[in-house]
Amino acid sequence: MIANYRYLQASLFSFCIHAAIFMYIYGTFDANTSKTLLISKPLQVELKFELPSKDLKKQIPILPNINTTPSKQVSEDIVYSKAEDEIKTPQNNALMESTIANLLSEESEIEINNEQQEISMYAQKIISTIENAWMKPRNIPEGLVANLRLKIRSSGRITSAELIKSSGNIRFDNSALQAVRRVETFYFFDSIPKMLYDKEFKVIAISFNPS
Amino acid sequence: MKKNLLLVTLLLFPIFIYGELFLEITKGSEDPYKVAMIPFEGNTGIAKQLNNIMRNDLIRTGEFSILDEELLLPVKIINDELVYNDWKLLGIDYLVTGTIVRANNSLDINYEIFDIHKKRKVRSSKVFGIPNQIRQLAHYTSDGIYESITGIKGIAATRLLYVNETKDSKLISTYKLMIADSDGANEKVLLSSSEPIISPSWSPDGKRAAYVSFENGIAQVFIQEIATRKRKLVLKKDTQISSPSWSPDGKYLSLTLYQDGNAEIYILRLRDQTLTRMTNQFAIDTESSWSPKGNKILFTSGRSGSPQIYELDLRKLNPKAKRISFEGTYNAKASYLPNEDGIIFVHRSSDGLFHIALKYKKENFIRILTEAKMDESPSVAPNGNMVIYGIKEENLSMLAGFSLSGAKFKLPASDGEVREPAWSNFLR
Repeated sequence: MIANYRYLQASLFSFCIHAAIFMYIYGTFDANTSKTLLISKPLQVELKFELPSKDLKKQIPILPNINTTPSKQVSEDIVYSKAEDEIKTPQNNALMESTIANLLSEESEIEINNEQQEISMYAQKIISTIENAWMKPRNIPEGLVANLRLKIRSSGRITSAELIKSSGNIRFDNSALQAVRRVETFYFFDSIPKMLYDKEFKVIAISFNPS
Repeated sequence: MKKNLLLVTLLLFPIFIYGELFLEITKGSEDPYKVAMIPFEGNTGIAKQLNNIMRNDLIRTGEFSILDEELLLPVKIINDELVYNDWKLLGIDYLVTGTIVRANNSLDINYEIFDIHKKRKVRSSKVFGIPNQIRQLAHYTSDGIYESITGIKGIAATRLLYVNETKDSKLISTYKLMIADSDGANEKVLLSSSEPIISPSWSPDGKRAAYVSFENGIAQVFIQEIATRKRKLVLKKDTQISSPSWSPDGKYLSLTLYQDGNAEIYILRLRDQTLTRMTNQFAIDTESSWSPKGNKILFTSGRSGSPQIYELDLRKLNPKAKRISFEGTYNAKASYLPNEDGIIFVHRSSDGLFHIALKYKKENFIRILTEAKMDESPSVAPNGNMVIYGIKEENLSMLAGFSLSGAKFKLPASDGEVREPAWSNFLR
């Protein structure tokens, strides 16, 4: 009986150890998993610079039309059909309401777009600063991409540059890190509004992709 | 439509807020690391010698430019901290300082590397040596500097094998198998013969060399120990055997045998002399070389009507040769880059000149890396960043090298002609 109990104890013990080993192998304890997830994140963010320009082109011509057409309609109604006023106003109101709602939402959209525009302007400045400092190594295979994450102080000083995705070619990775070293400080950062800096430019991801 | 657009923007917006800004860089040009090397403290004579050798080692890589000695600033240290700003104004990326420590029977170097941008020490190291090995000491130190700055292992402390041919007053040739440091210095004779010696090849541990010698009238392959000069015939046959190449584990030699009427690739197991035939073709198959992992062999074959490069996968039971070069009518003498992502070979371009070329596995075009007329027999350095090869200048064969990052250099021949260089593995 005692022997059986010991067997039971031992098998439980061994089960626990094996479970722990398997959990370790499958990465349950791996603290780095969250880090690797971040790699895919920047890909979504890339959309940011394509959207604002497209949106702006589409919306700026639409806006005046909305402003003029409903007001004309309203004034025409008032002049030619006073008797029908009572019946028509609710409709007009409905029309007005909907356009105001549209206008409001579009205005907020424009605000967003303005912010987007500002972001993309500063982003462009960052890109051109780094591009000027970047020396692409010779005779490396095509199609290499390396991603860095930069932490930047509000003064524009780069406090850390971390390789988040290696290109697989050390010389290429080095050239990217070296470019950031050469830049050291983005001198235009003091012109970025504090809100925008806190939201967007504290930590940025940069992709070096010459193709 | 408008509403849809709004929806899309609003849906995407949260991603904007939580994601980080992502930028893409698309341009760039070559530029080396700028390094200031303060002459090491200690014996000035030795310091000067060390400095010269290290400077050349680093410049040869193509990835460094060393500040001229006249432009060096005095090193200011305040509260144990180097004053970085003066160096930054000079555009320096890294600063190297060091001291030479001389004891009874040893000569050691302590060196330190400072990152001027990050304003901190990135390396503090000690190299142990003996007084009559100053060159080796310098090579070890420059490899340490190279590695701590680039993250790539340095090759200054590796060695070269090559063949030297000299003619006496009656125009009778003497052939010598030579061994030298990677910068061509410290040259020593391994074997001297009145008959040609060709195709030297390093064993992966750097302790032995295999080569072809015609001393007995036909081409035979020998293995020679470098330390003791002891040598032995690899395989006794009455037909020619040529182009030995060592497998990365050192247990096999791939060879070209002529016993079947034409040249075929064989693999020889050194332990028990078992021969395995790898090719069976009416055309010539030769110049085999192993992949760094030892699972593939590259060779040159004439089976398509012109010399082209083929690859054999040794993991398969009956491997079929796969053609991997398609540009032009002459591609030969190929070897892999150390990470197997490409090959270096001799290519005859459309103007009829022979150049060293590089082809990456994922690219469908070749890159021509040299511009002389008769470039031949390239050998890749173990870190994959440099290639040494043979050139002809005024009808004299000599050695030249280049780094993938663009540096070019020549190795001076002390006497006569030199050809067929072979770069060793890392020796430490």
